[in-house]
Amino acid sequence: MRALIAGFTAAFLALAAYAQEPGIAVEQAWARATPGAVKTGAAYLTLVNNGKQSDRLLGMSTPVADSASLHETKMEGGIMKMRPLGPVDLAPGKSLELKPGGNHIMLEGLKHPLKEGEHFPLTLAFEKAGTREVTVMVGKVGAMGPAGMTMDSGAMNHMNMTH
Amino acid sequence: MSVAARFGTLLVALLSALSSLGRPALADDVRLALAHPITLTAPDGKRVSSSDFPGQLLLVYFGYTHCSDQCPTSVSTMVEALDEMGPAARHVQPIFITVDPERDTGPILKEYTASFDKRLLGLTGSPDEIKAAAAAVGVQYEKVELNGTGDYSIDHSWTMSVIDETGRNARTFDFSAPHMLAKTLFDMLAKAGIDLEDVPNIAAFR
Repeated sequence: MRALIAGFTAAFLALAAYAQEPGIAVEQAWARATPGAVKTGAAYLTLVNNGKQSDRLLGMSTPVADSASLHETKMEGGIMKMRPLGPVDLAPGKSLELKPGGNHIMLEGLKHPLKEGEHFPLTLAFEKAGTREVTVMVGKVGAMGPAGMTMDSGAMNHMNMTH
Repeated sequence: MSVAARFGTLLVALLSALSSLGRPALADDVRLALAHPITLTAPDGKRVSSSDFPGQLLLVYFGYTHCSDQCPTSVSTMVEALDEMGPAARHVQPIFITVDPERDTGPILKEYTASFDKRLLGLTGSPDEIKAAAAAVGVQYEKVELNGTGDYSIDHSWTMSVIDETGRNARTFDFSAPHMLAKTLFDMLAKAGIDLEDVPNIAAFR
């Protein structure tokens, strides 16, 4: 029974959070634990534009790193390239999924290593929706998805783009 | 085979042929003979040569620690493949060779590899040594300046390399899931005549 109540409460909270965000919803924000003393990290999330007008992600920041910016990983002729992405447009009804092997948030100048199980705030700035603060959950080093989702190795199958 | 299926096969072949046009030459399974052993430096300063591991396969990935999206994926794939191999993984030495010796100093490299798996050996060297090691196995990389800030990224091959048990031959290939990488390693061990009798679920990889 307690679990049931907890479940309902969680569902209610989720709905309430959803209801507060008629424009842009930010879902599943997670990051990888950083290996050793490495000062760069990667975070991922999904943006959904539930609104009627297009919006644009202008930038982001977090107190845990000197900078946070959108990057893309692309494959060209078997070579992997990572490049900064400029502002990203979000058309109404569209979503943008950041995930390993694709678009990601690159954290540079981390003030301390990101450890599995921790979380940190990330503020996203949108042209119309204003700023949105999300909590980023830190998963395993090399995790392929947010904690609790069983996509560890299965997700790799989508990444072998040369076949 | 129906006409439709035949047409489909033809179409797929045609499309894959087209999509490979205009790419630099990088086959998805390159086999090269090593003219001489590859020698690099471990984080503790010891020189390590590819000829130091007789009877073992060397599973080699070229990457760098500032590569926060793709490299952890690749390294995790190596580690998960070894985990899937069970006790037979002792016939495989996993190695991470940095293509960024400037930033990946010994201590950073050591902590980086240990965060993934204690079996993983990190190696560095002079820029020339690393370039030569990559070229010897068919791996490409190139430093790219970003935004004029002095910051840089390193474009590199999305491949895994294996140096065989004789230390004389290298194979570099695209990789996908850990299971598939484990299968490739099992196949190479079997071909090398290394006894795999202690693999409980070997049938799953055949």
